[in-house]
Amino acid sequence: MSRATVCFILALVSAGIITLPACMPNGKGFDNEMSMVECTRLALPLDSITTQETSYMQLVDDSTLAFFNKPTYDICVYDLRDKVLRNRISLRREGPDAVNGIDAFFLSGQDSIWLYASWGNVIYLLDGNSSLREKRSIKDDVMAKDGGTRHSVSPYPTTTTPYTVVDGRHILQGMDGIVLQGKMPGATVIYDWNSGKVETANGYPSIYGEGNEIQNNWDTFGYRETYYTLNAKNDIVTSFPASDSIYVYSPNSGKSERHYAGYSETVDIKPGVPSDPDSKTRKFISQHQYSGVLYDRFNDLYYRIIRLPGNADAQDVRKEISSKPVVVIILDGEFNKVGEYRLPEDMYYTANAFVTPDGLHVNTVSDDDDLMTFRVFKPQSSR
Amino acid sequence: MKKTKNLFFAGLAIMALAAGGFAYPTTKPDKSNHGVTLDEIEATTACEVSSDASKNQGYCSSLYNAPTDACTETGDGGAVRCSGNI
Repeated sequence: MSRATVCFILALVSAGIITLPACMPNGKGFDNEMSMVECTRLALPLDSITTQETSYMQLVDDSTLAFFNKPTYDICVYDLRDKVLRNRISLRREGPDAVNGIDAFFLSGQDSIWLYASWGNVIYLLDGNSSLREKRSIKDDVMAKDGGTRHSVSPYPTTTTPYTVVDGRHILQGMDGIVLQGKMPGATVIYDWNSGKVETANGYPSIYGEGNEIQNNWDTFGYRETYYTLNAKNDIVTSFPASDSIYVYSPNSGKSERHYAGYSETVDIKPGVPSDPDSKTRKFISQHQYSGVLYDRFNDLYYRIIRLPGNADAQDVRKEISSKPVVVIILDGEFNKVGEYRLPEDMYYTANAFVTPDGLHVNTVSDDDDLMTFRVFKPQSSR
Repeated sequence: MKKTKNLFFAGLAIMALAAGGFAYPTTKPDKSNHGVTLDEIEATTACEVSSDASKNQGYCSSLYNAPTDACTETGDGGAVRCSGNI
């Protein structure tokens, strides 16, 4: 072997060693028992009328993903194994079956399509032909007009703040409602469809300060919009974006527990909302934000996502928002922190994430607008 | 020696280009004008929830971790109103 060839091989090996840490479990500053490894990527082909840009998805079953396609106002149902569009549920904008302003849905069967419109707090029930079967407004219930005996809530469902129906109970979550008096605003609404009764829960933790100052002090989707997941007991596990703890609420017992689930390094989250939109966005980029929490029922683990500070001086702030580094904090089934994993650098829409037997899927910005893309990570022991 | 150096830097350059291309996606083409009406395009931008402006109310907020903006019932210190209320 010539000397030149040897040197070339050495150069390649050196470059490989330099880039290797990006592919390995990463738990800087924390004694990881668990980490994650990227196992695959998922790319769903999209037709010419379907956009990759959505804020609402539902994992219908282990291999079926539905998402809202706003331009055509319909719900696309994909088979994740075959990567094909299986169904397109059209929502009507006009006529007796019109359902306008829809933000979220819950497909509970062929003939039961639940929809939620945040503006007006309206729940719709459609049949399999998109015909309207029932419509109810829960606005008065979520605003807590009863003099402050309930938390006031303004639900805003997203993929990681899902609209869920469990045993006739509709779970809606989002942000604090219009504070009138009395009780601290909350994040969660549980509406019993059969009895028509409403329960609210998950009052904001003390880090948010006084209830009537929350809206002035905390960015709407930066820190007031909350995230949740349901565990095997159907407890509601909530991530408040400014809090280093997660909150577990049991609808059956009415009890709430707090568990530490913070990032291992110093976290910079300060209140205050600049009045001009550009400064507001740059402040968000410059800070940490606790984002979604997802239960992995296949491994009895929780994944809490935190977005780390990005470059607040970047020219393209929209691009920089999705480029903020992402770390997944891993908790075991008893809410003990067992690891952290920093995702490879990319542009992520972390609000669009879900867990299948294949692992944690996180939506990424696709170069090709004919594809909806995800990076997929599996937990693994670090020892 | 010069040839060896060139090979070394060529190897590094290939690795760097591969890593760079992987980490920084390029700008994608806009797809929103395919098969939808102008009203529908307008309704999905600038925080409008409906092509009927009178139906747009509340505060315009960026979801940050998702690709859309939304009209929300309550705003924050820096919130601007949705177009229907301007």
